[in-house]
Amino acid sequence: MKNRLKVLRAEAGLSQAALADRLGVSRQTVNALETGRYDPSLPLAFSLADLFGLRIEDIFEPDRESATASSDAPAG
Amino acid sequence: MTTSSEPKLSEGDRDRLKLYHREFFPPMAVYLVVVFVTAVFVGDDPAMPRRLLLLLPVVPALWAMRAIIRSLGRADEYERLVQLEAMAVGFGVAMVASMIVGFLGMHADPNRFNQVSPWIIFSAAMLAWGATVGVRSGVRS
Repeated sequence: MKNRLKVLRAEAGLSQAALADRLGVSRQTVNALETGRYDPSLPLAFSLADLFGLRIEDIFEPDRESATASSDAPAG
Repeated sequence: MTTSSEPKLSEGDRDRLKLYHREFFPPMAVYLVVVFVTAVFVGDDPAMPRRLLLLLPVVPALWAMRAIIRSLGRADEYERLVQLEAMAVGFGVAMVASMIVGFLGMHADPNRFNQVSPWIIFSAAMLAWGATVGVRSGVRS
């Protein structure tokens, strides 16, 4: 999944550490989310959406290339 | 990536790290003392039941393990994933190291070999665990 976390965080004037404290996660986790190395659980995605006053789909969007590739793959 | 002015740890990270150090280092200090005391006072190859005293370092080791488990309980979802992957790699390395040690042990002096072989497996697994955590978290963030 792609996300706009880095932009949203910068617009809110938050450091990774400050965002981590607000979410109750480690700074390392915020870094992993921003760099796309980790997709959050639904509860964490909802926490992020609440914090920025947005919907989850306004922050995260599926990576169309990988989504298309997986849907084109034969079943079974 | 973070900018150079940005702190590496959040307030929460620092609090969790301090708590982990408070819980982990006392048992490790006791462990070192107990290892030293048993090595000096129990001696080599004692008879039973005195031999059981050699197991005393296991007690503070379990105490330290409690600190690690409690730390995992405080970890967030990404940290747990990293730790789980690292433990899986550590387990795999321990299995392979056990095989290697087992095959080598078939043609080695059993007395000398049995003394070192558990520590080879232990060290290989711990190194693999630590290196995986380092690669998955520290190096790239």
